[in-house]
This record gives sequence, structure tokens and C-alpha cells, in this order.
Amino acid sequence: MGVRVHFPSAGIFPPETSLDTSVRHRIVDAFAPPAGRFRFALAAALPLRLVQFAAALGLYLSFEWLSFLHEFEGVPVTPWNPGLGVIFALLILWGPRSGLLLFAGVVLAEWLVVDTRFGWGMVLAVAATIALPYTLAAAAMRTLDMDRRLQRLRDVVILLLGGTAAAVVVSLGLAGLLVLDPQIERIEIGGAALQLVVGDLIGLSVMTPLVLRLAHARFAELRELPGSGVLPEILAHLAALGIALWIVARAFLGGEFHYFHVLFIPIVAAAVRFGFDGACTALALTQFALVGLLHLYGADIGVFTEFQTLMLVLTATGLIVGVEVSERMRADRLVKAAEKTLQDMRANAAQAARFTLVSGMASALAHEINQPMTAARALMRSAQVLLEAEPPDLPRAGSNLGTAIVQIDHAGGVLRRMRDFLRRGRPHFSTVGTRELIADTLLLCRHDVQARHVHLEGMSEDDTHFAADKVQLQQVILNLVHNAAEAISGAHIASGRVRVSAHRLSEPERIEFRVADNGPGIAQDYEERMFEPLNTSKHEGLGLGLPICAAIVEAHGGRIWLHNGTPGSTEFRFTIPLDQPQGP
Amino acid sequence: MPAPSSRPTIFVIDDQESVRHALGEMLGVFGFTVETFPSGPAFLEGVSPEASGCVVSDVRMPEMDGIELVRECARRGLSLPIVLISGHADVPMAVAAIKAGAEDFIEKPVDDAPLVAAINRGLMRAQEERSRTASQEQLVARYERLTQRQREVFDMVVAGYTSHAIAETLEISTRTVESYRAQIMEKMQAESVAVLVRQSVELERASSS
Repeated sequence: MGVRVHFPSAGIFPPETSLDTSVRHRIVDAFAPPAGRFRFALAAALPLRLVQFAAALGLYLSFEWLSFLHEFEGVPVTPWNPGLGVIFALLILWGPRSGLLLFAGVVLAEWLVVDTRFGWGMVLAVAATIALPYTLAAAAMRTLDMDRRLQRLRDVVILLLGGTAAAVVVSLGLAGLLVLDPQIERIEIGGAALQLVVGDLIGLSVMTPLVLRLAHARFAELRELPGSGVLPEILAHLAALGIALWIVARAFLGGEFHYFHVLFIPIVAAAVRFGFDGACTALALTQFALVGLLHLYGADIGVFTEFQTLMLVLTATGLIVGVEVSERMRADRLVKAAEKTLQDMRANAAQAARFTLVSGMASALAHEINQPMTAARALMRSAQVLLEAEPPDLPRAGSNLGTAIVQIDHAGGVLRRMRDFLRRGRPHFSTVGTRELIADTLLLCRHDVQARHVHLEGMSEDDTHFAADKVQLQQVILNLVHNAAEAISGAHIASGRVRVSAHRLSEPERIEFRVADNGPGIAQDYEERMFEPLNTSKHEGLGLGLPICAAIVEAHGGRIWLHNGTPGSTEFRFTIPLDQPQGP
Repeated sequence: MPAPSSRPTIFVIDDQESVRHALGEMLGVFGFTVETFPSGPAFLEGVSPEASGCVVSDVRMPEMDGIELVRECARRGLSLPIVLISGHADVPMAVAAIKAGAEDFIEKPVDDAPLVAAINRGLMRAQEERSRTASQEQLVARYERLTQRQREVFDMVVAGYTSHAIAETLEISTRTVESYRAQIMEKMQAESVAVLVRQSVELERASSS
């Protein structure tokens, strides 16, 4: 920055100017990656830090030099101060040590670039007056727990307020110094001080957020963005910005900013679409373009003041809209991540439940196979002994072998039933109507139920068609009806009755099947474990019927439960959602 | 004194009829006397307290599982060895079974060789136990035939006192002590003082058990 207060009498106070994109790339290369690398090489940190300091100093001086190079005679103004913005960002990132950087930068700029006519004492005093308040402001922000990534509105407000306070203190200090200097005559100290504040503030509000964001940018993430849409959109935004700048430039030919407000459109658009980063980038581009415009066409002091004011408003608007949008985007991302986590957890739970079912079935299978195997082996071993005896007991051996065959057939039957279920473990969806489903199922079990002198009836309020595996749902209903009829006949209930019905329910859209009976009810201790494999209340049961029912219903996205277990009005219910996905 | 002559019986317990029938048939063909029961309580109700033999029981049964059965037999003082068989054999179950006092733990489907080995081991152990109990009981009976004075002398003899020392302590003549010693040796059927000492150890064990 240097002392950019204008001295109309001296006439050699260079304004600052734009810098091209290659310089911006150097900013990125020099400052973006340090944080991570530092931690790895703490021992080598000092040389690296020195290199970075040298690079920052060089950058600062090149800003000053560019300003000086593009100075145009007669208009000694300071539209903005990008070098200060960069150093201020480093003060926030690297801490108060960078204050020395600012101090050295100002001194060197005065000496090398501006070719000052101040004495050394004055140069050092000016440098200290500038460096101290900014260093203190940055340190205060660090203690205020400002997020350096500027993710919240609070952080941006702290940055802007702290920057403003420091800029005001600096300009007052410089004005005081200049008043004290007897060499300087006829100074419009008031106006100069105000212009200095605004110029510094624009530099801070445009460059500091940009550098802070770049320092924390993870460029790898850019590539992961949904590729197709992003690049064209960025180009569209750049084109819009270009058009707005062109309109402003055309109107500027008259020497005034007639259509400056047009710039709000691309800036706000960039902020809305790309959040804080979009706003920072668009603001920096706009700022460089407009300063270039001022240098090209020249402007009087009034125009510069107007430009500064407009730019400050534009910058504040862009940054605040940007950070708001970023906050919202971040919240959206967090919500999405949370939703995904929840979904994953649900899937895991379902997986675990399925695994429990499968391992439970394996255990049940082992038991069901083991029993006949044990019997068959013992019988065959006894037959072997009987045949080896002298004389062999042929009738007894033959009888034992016959019983062994029955046992092996029994084991085969268990395996076949299990295989039938496993083969149909995945539902094969087709369109099923509730009326047809109930009618067909009742037809299948009527014989079995009536043999037990139990009355069976079916009812469907309306004929709803839905996607399901018909055979599997039939299996569920058959199982429930069979259990009910068996319980009724086992308890010797005279006027036994089983009723199957389907009901369409909403929110969520689903069909609820009910199987009610007037049997002996369900024992409370069995109720808790009835859907787990191997638990059975029957003497001859496998303990697999209800677990298989539950597995089928769950594979359809529904659930099954015992609605009522009291004797006389026992009722099982299960639901099948209507909008469930095709397949588990 | 229980008669060890009664033939040992194998008690097969399984809730599934086919299994207990088949195991019973096999063990019967092997030459064992077999009785089958559908459950632990049915067995406890049907078995006589003096029964000798071995129990072969399933673990997973309704009402009372095999491990509970082992504990219940111990509680009732039934000294029958119990071999457990299970289709769901896992380490915790086997540990629980052995801790409860089961003779062995065999997986279903049962291989007859280890089953028969376990049964024979159990029968042998029960037999040894029984004969040891029998000889202890015999010894106690002999000891009880001694008079009060003879018991005092017995205790001092096995404690290592000489006849002279015993006579002095009991304030009787050495000759009388010698005659007591002869009576004790005869009643206890001991050939030497060494045998008497061993008998006294056995007696102590019998009275403590």
C-alpha cells in the first residue's frame, strides 16, 4: 500500500492498479498449500516460512510496482489497496509475525517503488503507523475465534468491522503524521484520510476473503463436483459479468458511472449460485476490471470517490449474500449427509435382521436334520450288529433299516421345505389384486381348515391392485390361517372361526391384511419371541412359519405383528406398502 | 448295603420319540439293558433311588433341559453318571454340562463308539465308587464292634504309642494292653499295625464324607 495519501502539490502519488491473472496464480501457488505441509515438516518450518515471507513481500511489492507503473498524471487517487488485503489475510492466517511483513513491505515500497521524498525517520514512522493497527486488528480477530474459512456471516462481519476499525485508526495516524511534517503544505487532510479509509477497506473486503478462501480451498473437490453442469455455468456467469462490465464501460465513456447498478446482477447471481467463493471471485474480477477502466480512460477526483462508494456497497452486498448462501448450502449438505447416514444405518439394521433370520434358520435346519440323522445312524448301526451276530437276527435288522429309511426321508423333507423357501426368498413381483389373492388363498387352505371343523371366511373391502409376489403372500396368509385353525382344533373349540380380510389404508398408502380367529390366544412369553426362528408353541412345529412370514413381509417393505393375542379374538396383521420399490 | 449284582441299566431320555427309540434299540443290540423316557421329569419319577447304570440324555428338551437334569440328579443324590448328547453342541454348553457334573458331552448325530466308551467309563466309575463305599461301610461296621476301651487303645496304637506308653497313660498293665491289641487286630481283621493305620485313615475319610 505505502502512503497513498495524495499530496496535490507534489503530484507524484501513484494510484494503484489492476494485476493480471498470472499474478493471481502466483498467489495461489505461494499461499494456498502451507497449512498441511507445515505440520509435516515442523523441523524444516523456519526456512519454508522464510520462503513464504519472501514470496509475500515480493507479491506486495509487485502490487505496489504495478500501481506505480500504471500511474497516470493528474489524477492522484487511490481507488483501492489490494496489497494490503493480501497481507491482512496473511496476518489472520499466520499471526502477528506477518506484521513485520507489512512493516517491511511499506518501507521497501516507499524506497524502491514510490521513490519517496520522506526522510528515513518519517518512512519508518509511516510504516509503523500502518503495520501496528492492522496487526492488532488481525490478532483481535484470531482471539475472537473467527473462522478463517469465513463460513458464517459472523466471521465476515468480524472481518469487515475489524478491517474498518483498523483502516480508520491508520488513516487518522497518517493524517496526524502528515500534519506534524513541516515540509508538507496545503494538505486536504480530511478528504485524504477518508479516501484512504475507503481505499483500504475495498482492498480488504475484496482481497482478504479471496486469499483466505484460496488458502483453505481444496481443489480436488472441484473435480468431484457434478462435472457436466458446473463449467458451462461458470462460463455463463463470466459472460454475464463481462456484459455488465461492458455496459458500465460504455456508459463510462461519458466520464461517469451511470449504469453501475447493473453490476449487482452478476455479482448477486454468482453469490447465489456459488456462495461466498462465487462472490469473492466475481468481486475481484469486477474490481480489477473497473480499476483498469479508470486507468485507461482517466477520471476526475469526483468520479473516483463515487466509484469507491459504489464499489464498497457492491462488495458488502456480494459478500453478505455470498456468505448467507454458503451457510445455507453447508446446512443443506449437512442435512443430506445426516440423511445418508440414517439411510445407511437403516440398511445395516435390515441387513443385520436378515442375517439373524438366516443364521437362525441355519440353526433350525441343523436341529431338524440332526434328529433324523441321529435316529437313522443308531438304527443302521444296530442293524449292522444284528446282521453280524451268529445267528443274524434278520427280521429285527430289517425292521430297523425300514425305520432308518423313514428317518432319512424325514430329513429330506425338511431340506426340501427349506430349499423351497430359500429359492423363493427373493420376491418375484407382479400385479396382484386383493380379492383374487384372498379368494385363491382360501381355496388352497379350505380343505385343511374344514377338516378341523373350523369355519373360514374371506373379505376384501375393495379390489386394490398392487405389486407383490403372489405366491409368497399366499404363503404368509396360508401359514397364519393354518396356525389359527390348528390352535382352534388343538383347544377343542366348538364353533371355530378364521376370518381373512384386506383393507386399504392411507398415509402411507398400504394394504393391511388381517387374519383373526376365536382360538385360545397366544401365550405371553411366546408372544415376544414368536417371529424368531426355532421358537414354537407346537409339538410338531419347525418354529419356522412365523419367521418366514416376517421375512416375506419385510422383503415386500411391510411389517407383520400380533395385533391381539387374547383368547377368543386373536388377530395377526401385516401391511404391504403400495409405493414400495420393486425388489428388496 | 446296595447289591452291586443288579444289572446296570441305560436310561435314554429324548423328547423326540424316533431318536430315543433308535438309541435304545442300538444300545439294546449292543447288550445293554435299556429304558427310555420322553423327558427329564418322567425319568426322575420312574427311576428307583437304588438304580445303577448310566443316563444318556438330550440337552435341548422342553420342560427340563439336560443340564438342569444333571443338577437335579445331583440334588436328589442319584449317583448315576449322565452322558449328554446335543445337536447344538457349542463350547459354552459343553462347559456348562461338564461343570454341572455330566460324565461326557457328545454331538448329534451320535457316533456309537464314543457313546459306548463314555457309557462304560461312567459305569466303571460308578462301580468303583460303589465298591469303595462298600468297603468303607464294612470297615465302619467292624470299628463299631470295638468296645470303648478297645477304641481308645486303637486310637493310641495308630497314633504310634508303644504298649508300655499306652499302659501308663490308661493306667492299666502292659499285659492288658497287649491283650486289647490282639482283640482289636482280630475284630478289625488287620494283619499288622500298618493295616490298622491305613484303616484308621479310611475311617476318618468315611466319617468326614
